[in-house]
Amino acid sequence: MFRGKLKFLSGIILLVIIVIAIYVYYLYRQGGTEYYTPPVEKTEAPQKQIINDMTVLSSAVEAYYAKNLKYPDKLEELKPEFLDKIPLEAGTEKSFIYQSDETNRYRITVTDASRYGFKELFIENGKIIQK
Amino acid sequence: MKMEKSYKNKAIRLLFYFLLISIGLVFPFASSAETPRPDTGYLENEIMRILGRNIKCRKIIVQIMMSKEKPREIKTVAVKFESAVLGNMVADYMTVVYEKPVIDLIQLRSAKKFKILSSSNNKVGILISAKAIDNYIAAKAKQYGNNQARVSVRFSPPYAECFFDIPVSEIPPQTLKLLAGYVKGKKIEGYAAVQMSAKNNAIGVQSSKTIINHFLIPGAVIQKLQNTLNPVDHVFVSAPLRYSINNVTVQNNYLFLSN
Repeated sequence: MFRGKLKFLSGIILLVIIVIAIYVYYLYRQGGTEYYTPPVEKTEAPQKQIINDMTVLSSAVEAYYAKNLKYPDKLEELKPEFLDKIPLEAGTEKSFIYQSDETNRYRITVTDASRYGFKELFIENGKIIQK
Repeated sequence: MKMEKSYKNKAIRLLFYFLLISIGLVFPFASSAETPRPDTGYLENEIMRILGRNIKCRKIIVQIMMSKEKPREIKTVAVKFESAVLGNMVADYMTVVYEKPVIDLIQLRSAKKFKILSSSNNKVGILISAKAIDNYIAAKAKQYGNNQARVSVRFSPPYAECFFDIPVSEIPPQTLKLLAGYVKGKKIEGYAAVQMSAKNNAIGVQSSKTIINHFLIPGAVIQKLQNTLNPVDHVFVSAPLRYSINNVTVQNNYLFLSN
């Protein structure tokens, strides 16, 4: 009886040691210089993705203003200094509608807000409006 | 002869009317245009001179726009600094915009001080390149007597990637205690991919991946590290300009701080 319990206990201990060793090995394997890369971004649901993309665009437009004291004429001007590529509307792959008067106001709008469950969806001067 | 004279008179009259109409048409547009008015030039130069004395930078541009509805009201004052020295950091660009500002003109003229009494809104944007951050970290390390620490930053939106090689002797004991299991030898060398946040000028980092001495650091340890290290820094606020940084985004070439 006692020997059986001892065997069981040593089995458990061995299992725990093996699990820990595998975990440590995993942490070691993931620590090589080939893993010096940022994590891959998860794809979000279109409704969340579109707001993320609009926020990224708006922030880049604001950064462009901080450098040039004017808003860009078109979103393409944000490349490559502020953005790698201009995001397209999630799901439809259409371009966002961008309007600006250069000095005071800019607006980024989606072509069809209802597709994302909104009546209106736009960012104006950094403020997101979703109705 | 008489006929010729009357034609000439008619032509002159027509030309006169045409000029009158042209003047009437052109002037209203010219006065409603939103370009800076000539009388703002003096104010712009004065602000530029005063701010230049308070904030070290390579270049300052001041742009004043007057309201088209109320000719005496300033619509916006925008100030852009290039290579602005903010404490130990040299920001590549810093722009501050005040909407409907009330400038203390008495202070401006007599005490040569730039003071905004009130404004309906203000906007600040600070752009900092990876090189500026590298220089800042190197200067700060030197300030604490850490001459062997090597840290470099690269931007991979939305992450800032950090590569480091720091002697153990230059790491604060509290941090070293948390990393005790991962320190082999006399230095910690590795990588971190972080996202950044800001609140009331305090900068925080959230690591999504940290590798130290060939080991991927587990989430629980990272959490403890973040609790110890955050906020990692504070944005320096230049005296005459009041702002509070509450947003940080990592972009291709810059770290963009805004309110």
